[in-house]
Amino acid sequence: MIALSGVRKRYDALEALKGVDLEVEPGELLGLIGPNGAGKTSLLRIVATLSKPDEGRVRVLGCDPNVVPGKIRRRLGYMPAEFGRLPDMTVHEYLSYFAAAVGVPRRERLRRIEDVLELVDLVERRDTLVSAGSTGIKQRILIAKTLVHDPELLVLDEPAAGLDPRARVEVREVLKELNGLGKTIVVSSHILADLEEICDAIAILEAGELVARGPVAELKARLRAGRPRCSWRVVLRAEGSPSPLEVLAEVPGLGDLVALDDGMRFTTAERDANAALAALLAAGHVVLSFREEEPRLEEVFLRETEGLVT
Amino acid sequence: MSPACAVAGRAPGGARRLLARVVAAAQWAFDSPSAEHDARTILSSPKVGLWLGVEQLALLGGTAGGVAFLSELGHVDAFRGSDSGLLGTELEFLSLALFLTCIVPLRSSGLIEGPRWRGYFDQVVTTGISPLRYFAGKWATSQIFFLTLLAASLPLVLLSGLLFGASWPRVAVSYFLLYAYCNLLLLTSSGLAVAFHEVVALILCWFGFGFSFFLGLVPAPGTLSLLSPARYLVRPLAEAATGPGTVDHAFYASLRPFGLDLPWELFALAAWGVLGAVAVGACALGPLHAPSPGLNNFGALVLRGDRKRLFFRRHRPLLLRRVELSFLFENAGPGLRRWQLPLRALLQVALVGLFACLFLGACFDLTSIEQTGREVVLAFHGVACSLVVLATWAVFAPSRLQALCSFRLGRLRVPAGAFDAAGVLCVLALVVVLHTVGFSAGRDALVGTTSWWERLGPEEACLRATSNLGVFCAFALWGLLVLQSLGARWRARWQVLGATVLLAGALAIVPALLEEAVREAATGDAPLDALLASPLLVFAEASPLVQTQVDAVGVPGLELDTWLVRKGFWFWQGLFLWLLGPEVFFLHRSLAREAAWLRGERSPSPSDPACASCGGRRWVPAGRTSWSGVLFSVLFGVRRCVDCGAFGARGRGRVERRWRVALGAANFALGLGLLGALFVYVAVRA
Repeated sequence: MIALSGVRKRYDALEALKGVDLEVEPGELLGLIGPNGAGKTSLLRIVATLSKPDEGRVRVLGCDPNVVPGKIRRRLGYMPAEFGRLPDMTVHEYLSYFAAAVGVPRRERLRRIEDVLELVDLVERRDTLVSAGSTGIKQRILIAKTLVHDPELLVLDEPAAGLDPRARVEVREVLKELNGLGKTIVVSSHILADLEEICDAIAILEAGELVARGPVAELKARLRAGRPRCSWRVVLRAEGSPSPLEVLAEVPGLGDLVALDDGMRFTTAERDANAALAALLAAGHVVLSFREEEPRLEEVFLRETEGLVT
Repeated sequence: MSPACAVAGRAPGGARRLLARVVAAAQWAFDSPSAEHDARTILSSPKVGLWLGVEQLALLGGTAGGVAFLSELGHVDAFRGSDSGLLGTELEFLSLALFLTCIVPLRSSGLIEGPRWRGYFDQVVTTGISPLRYFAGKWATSQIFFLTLLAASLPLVLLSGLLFGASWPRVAVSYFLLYAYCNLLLLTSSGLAVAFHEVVALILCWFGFGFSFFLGLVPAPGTLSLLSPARYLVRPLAEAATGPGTVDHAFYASLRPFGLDLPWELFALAAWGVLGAVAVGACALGPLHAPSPGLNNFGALVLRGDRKRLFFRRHRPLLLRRVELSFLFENAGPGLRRWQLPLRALLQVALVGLFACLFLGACFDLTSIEQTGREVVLAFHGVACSLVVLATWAVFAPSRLQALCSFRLGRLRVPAGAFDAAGVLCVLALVVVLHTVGFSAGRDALVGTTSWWERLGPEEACLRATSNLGVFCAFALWGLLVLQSLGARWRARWQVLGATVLLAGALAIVPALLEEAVREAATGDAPLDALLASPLLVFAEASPLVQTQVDAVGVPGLELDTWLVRKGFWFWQGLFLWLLGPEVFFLHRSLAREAAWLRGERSPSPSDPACASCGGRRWVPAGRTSWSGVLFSVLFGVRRCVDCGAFGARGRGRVERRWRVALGAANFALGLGLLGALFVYVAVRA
């Protein structure tokens, strides 16, 4: 669906992309993460045919953007990070504008607009002014605009930027639904928790270089394999004596011991976990669950990146 | 059944298909999103009220002002009875024409509602909408706007006509001309806004049509004011006011471009049609540069090597929109892109040919004008030649962005620079023909010949005109070389245009103004006068203004004709070509190489040295000749890194500062030596 090979992009002295290789399979939902200035927007604009790479090969939807950019644009939905202002337009008129621009036949326009409004849950706001909406509403309008011609590939630049938690959840649900419909989606975001939940794969950019790329589970497994200590979570009913905190404090090799409302959290090497469990049971506490905590995407990100800025 | 078919179904016979096509085209235009958007911005009730209110004020003010002006000149008494109605309606139409000249470009060039300013242009581009459909929408909505403006003027015109009498067929023709004029303004301003920044386009539009409007009002050859309806509207007033037998009356009454007795309106509509077609072509084909990798439209617009430049030269806001526009023009159909080379050539020749015909055609309208008028027209001929050269430069002098562009012609890639050079030669050939014919006709008219085509044989005047034209064309060519050289360095077209104007002023107009003084100095008794004046005289004689004046060349005593003008001028031409030719060649070769790098058609070779600054291996030859000819470009040749703009040595090239200083000093010394040699030569001859 997307194939980038050795893509470089320079803005004067600033090298925004330094030979990025990236492939996105059909139907994949790829999350693009990276610190500010990592080159995410440059990469997305190249994919969206709005910028040309200085070096390297790009193929989007099987076509070369240098040769047939118009053909790609008609099959691609691009959502920029900023909401372009249009004067005095209602939501329906705004969508109609872009539906006409992408060449949706007049007789189909109304149905398409109703469909996407329903998808992003904006049916009730169809006749309100675009400019009157909150940031969350505007983001959803932008998503609706991106979908109005039923594109095969969606390129979304920071769709959750500036949204409150509820709106973020809504956008996340919309993306999940779209991915379920078979759309290929490339989405960049700073909110890693959102991407962690919905993305099939993650690509991490730093200082113009692709430092990691793969399924979320694989990246986490890589992180887990690479670190000497794991984080453990125990849910228990404290019925014995001494207290769980005192019991675990006596177990050698445990660290970062934290008492929680329903249990404990600590870190230890994998081989010492059994000793901790045995100590709790021996003290008479009822252990309801004992499991290793998965590393979060933030941890993966922090491990893979070094805070470099181009 | 579609509405197009329904309408066509009611039409009889063979007109059915044509009507269906017209209706379908109108539907296509009105279905454009820009039509919907523009309709919302233009036709919202407060804005319509504002436009119409301003229009009424302009009409009333213009009419009252016109009456007051004529009254001041004592011409009002010429309009009595039904003629007073003529005065009222014509003044209202003139005011309306002026109002439209101001308002239509302001609206249509996108200055007020430019999509870039609202930050959604990227989204429009990624919809894949074709530029023609985008502009068609704007055109379609503007028709409603124009009709509204014209309809709003009806009450005043009707009132004036009904109370004081008017020629209603003439009123109808005037409205038709004004409607066509609106479309001309719309198309031209849109076409200019594609090629230039909106503000520049607006200024050019106001200047061009305003100048034509002014020429329509004053006693000048009618051909010059063909781009505005002012002459048609003012003619009955001027004829009544000036009275027959005067030179002014002859100017207003006579309009015979190329000696043809046809109505002025036909010539005007033909000229408008050509200009409109060129503008539509510009809207369909876009600016003459492709979005190459070095052209960025993300954030601050920067190109390679910019960090080596001075701070104030890094920021080029005027480029931003053109870059964005070029992405829009990628959406043009493949057929249009395939044929763009011949189409662009056709449009450029048509544009410059139109200007050439407008200016030079004025010289044929001489037979009915008195002696004084003829001399005025013939004197104007020199100005016309200069303006044609200016137009040629404006069209063909490329900026750096343009020079990076190229066309595919089968398997051949034609650089835009070569395309421009071929275009210049074609246009100059056209000008040669028109100039020869025009100059000959002008001289013949002065000596009383009745028709120009009877005297086109190898007469002395014709030979003189053709000889002068050789000088004129050489002047045009080396001027173009200067601009090509500058354009290869500069990235914005407005910079090249500015240089064009300066060059025209410095080398065409100023020497002409100085010519008399220089001539006196050259023929003075003191040898020093002649010594100092001679090189200046060469420039003065080279000016097209001087070259096309009647009997300008040939001062007895110094025999300027035989050696100074002929040999001296050609000596300077040769010198300029020797200095500028290699500069232009090397610069454009470098640009072609850079364009190949940017398009990915070349790959770095391991034998290429790595750049000390960035490690890149992509180099382009940088002559850095500073207009110093073949010799120095070889000796001092360096190369420039495509990635970071750093310079490196090439062959025997020297990149150190002292070598650059030495090069400058050598150039300066060479120039001084040549001037000194010429002074000595002149002194010996004198």
